[in-house]
Amino acid sequence: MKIGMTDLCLAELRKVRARGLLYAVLAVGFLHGLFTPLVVRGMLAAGEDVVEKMNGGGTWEPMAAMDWLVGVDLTVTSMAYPLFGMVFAFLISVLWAQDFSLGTLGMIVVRPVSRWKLFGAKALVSVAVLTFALGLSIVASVLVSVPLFGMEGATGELANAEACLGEDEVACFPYLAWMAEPSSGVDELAAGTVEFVGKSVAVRILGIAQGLLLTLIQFGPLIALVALLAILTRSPVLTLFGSLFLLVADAVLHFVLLLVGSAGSGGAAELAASLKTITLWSLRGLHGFHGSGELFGAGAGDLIGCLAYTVLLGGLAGYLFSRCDVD
Amino acid sequence: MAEVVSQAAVGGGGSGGEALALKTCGLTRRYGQKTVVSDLSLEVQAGDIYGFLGPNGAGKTTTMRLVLGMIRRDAGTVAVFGQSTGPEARTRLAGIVGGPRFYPQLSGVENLRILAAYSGGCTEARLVELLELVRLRERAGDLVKSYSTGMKQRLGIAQALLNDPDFLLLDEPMSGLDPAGVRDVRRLILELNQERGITVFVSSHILKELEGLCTRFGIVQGGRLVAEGVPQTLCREGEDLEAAFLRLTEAGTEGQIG
Repeated sequence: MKIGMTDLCLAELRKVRARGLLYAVLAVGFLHGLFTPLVVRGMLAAGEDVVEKMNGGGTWEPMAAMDWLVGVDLTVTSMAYPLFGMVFAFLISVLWAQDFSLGTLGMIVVRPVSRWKLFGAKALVSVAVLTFALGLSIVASVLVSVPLFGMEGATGELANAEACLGEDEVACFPYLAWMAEPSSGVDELAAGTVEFVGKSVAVRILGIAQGLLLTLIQFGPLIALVALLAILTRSPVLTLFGSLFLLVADAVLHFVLLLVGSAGSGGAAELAASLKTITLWSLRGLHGFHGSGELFGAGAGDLIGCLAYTVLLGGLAGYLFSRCDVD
Repeated sequence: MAEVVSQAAVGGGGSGGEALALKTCGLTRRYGQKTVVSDLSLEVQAGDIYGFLGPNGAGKTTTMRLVLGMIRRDAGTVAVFGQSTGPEARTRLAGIVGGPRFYPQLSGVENLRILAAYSGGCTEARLVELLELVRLRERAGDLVKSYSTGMKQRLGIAQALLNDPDFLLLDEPMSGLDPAGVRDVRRLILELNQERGITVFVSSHILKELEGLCTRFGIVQGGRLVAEGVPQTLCREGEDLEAAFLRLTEAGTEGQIG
């Protein structure tokens, strides 16, 4: 009997939809997309250099002062911030733990489907809902950004030869950098593509895609942590508050290590400074190389850290799920 | 009650001619230091309605969980129609252990749709057929939280039938039901066995619930199978089934196996 992953994912979606939580997450994603450009516009009006902040004060000089594409980019990048993250954590806590707490898992695991496949369906739905919420926020952000910031930056200055990206700017985008890298074996066609893309609006859209991908990666440890806690506690409430507690504890630990690392000297301070970099809070710096040109520098550590936490916590959760007793 | 005769009793068997629906060998499960199921070996013939009797805490539910793969076994083997338990073996196996549980915020039919996805899907016509079988078609659109215990039990049986099993395990399906509910579930079990050829393994700690329904009994006490056989072989002369059950479970001694 062949049981398709699509059917399993649809069943998971039906379960969370019934509680209305799915709509809540999508609504918060949409609202995030509406409000971020408004906030950015307000900051600009107050004289803040938003674009410089966006680049972490990095090396990349913005091509244009502000346009709707930058507003959208900022929206995606800022989705990892607490509000949306908490609502999303609420949804996935229910998604992962409700079958334990309702006792319905006992009616599911006796069916002809492997537990790893059940685990995979829940993981896929978690990522799919997140992606869809981010997509909605992009749509909402476009709707607000265009009238707020106008199209001039994107269609005018960006397309102008004067706004063409130089070699350093191209290096800001890993895909472009890879294409431009002579050792990658890509020929002149690729170089020509880089030049064309560098001159067009597409480079900013590529930046948004990069931000979207990084945000998804940044949520990986949260999804894996929730899955693990759901299997250990078997309660949506304990899963939600447990994961939020651990995230706050992680942030506190980060700042304690930061203080110890910067105030002291010697081995203890060095150790604290090293440990600080592996806290989840520290890995929030993942977006630091979003356009900063440091993909293969400090930012790569955060990327690897996020993926490592996702694989370790998620792998442990999957292993426990495949072997746990079901009442 | 003696008028009830299952398909097995008349030589039937709707499981493709295979003799054994279930065979366990040395099944053992421990929780810490406590052995809940101990070296339990039993056989269920295809086409039987097998009554699994024992007092509270005897290990009935744990045994059924072990058979269904809900919990890990510490020792022993389980074979369903000759196949070791795993996703493939579960295509012919279904069951409800620990009472049916549903998503209370969803309707009965929506619950079935969700659970059908884990069994390879199900057509709307099949859903209607199952709802009619358990006499819930009229209430299929109502939220499950508005269902009575008996209705939930019947919906539980309907969801267990989604993958069209040949072997069905029901853990205390008449527990908490009023007399009409007990009658409905008994009638349903008979219908499944006689008309659809499904082998049924049903547990209870109340003999009256299973008397006249089952063709064969297994009596478990302290995690061990103390007796197994047709009612006549379990009873001594002048003894009814209830007396035999009490004697076997209170003494906890080895009974007649056969």
